[in-house]
Amino acid sequence: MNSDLLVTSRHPPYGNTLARDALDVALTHAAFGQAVCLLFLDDGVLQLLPQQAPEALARKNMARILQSLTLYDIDTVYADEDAMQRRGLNARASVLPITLLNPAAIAALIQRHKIVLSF
Amino acid sequence: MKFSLLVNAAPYSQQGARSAYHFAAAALASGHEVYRVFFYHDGVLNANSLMQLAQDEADLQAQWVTLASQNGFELAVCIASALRRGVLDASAADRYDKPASNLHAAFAIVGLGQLVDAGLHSDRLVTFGG
Repeated sequence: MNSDLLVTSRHPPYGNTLARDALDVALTHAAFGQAVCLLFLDDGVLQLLPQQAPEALARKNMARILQSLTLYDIDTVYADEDAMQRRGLNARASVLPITLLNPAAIAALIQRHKIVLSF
Repeated sequence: MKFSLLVNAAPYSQQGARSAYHFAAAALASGHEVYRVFFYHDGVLNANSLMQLAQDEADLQAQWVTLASQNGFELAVCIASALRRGVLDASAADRYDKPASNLHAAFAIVGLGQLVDAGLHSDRLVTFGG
């Protein structure tokens, strides 16, 4: 799918607020009628882990925000296959449906987007 | 070419903020245009007028202000990021009953929609820091 904006997210969900701020940018673009897709890289794939319990950290649940993306028509979500494998993560256990990409496919995805914002 | 910059990096502690400035200055010196610099995440701290550096340290904020006024581009600060980090203009300080405001007069508080606008009106939108 060709969207207007690609947001890449490479930070874990609760170490800092970059992961959350990336989603705010994605949601705002969607609200302004832009087609948005998301790509999780590096430790960013940890955002996809099920059974997140951030209440103990006094933080909002990132998984819940991710699951709401589809309400904003953001349903094209990719993850780096290699980053998932290295961390022992399974795409089937992800908190939202994702498509795994190899390095060549990631390069092609970035290549065909005019705007790529990295968080 | 028309550039906009997204600055996520804090001043002083992160190089990304300074790299963004050098990129903007180099692009302008090469005949390109800067449409908007959008400060987001910890980048909003670049707009804090209460920063005081040591005498032998380069004042990045003053450099941004000069570059923006000489070249007529906007220094835009995300309101949601700014409020959470204590960067307030006078009206926000009044609205939230805070003892002071600290937004530098050369910066403007805006919504995230201005980042969408920057993407639509620039040939390139380049991210710094994060």
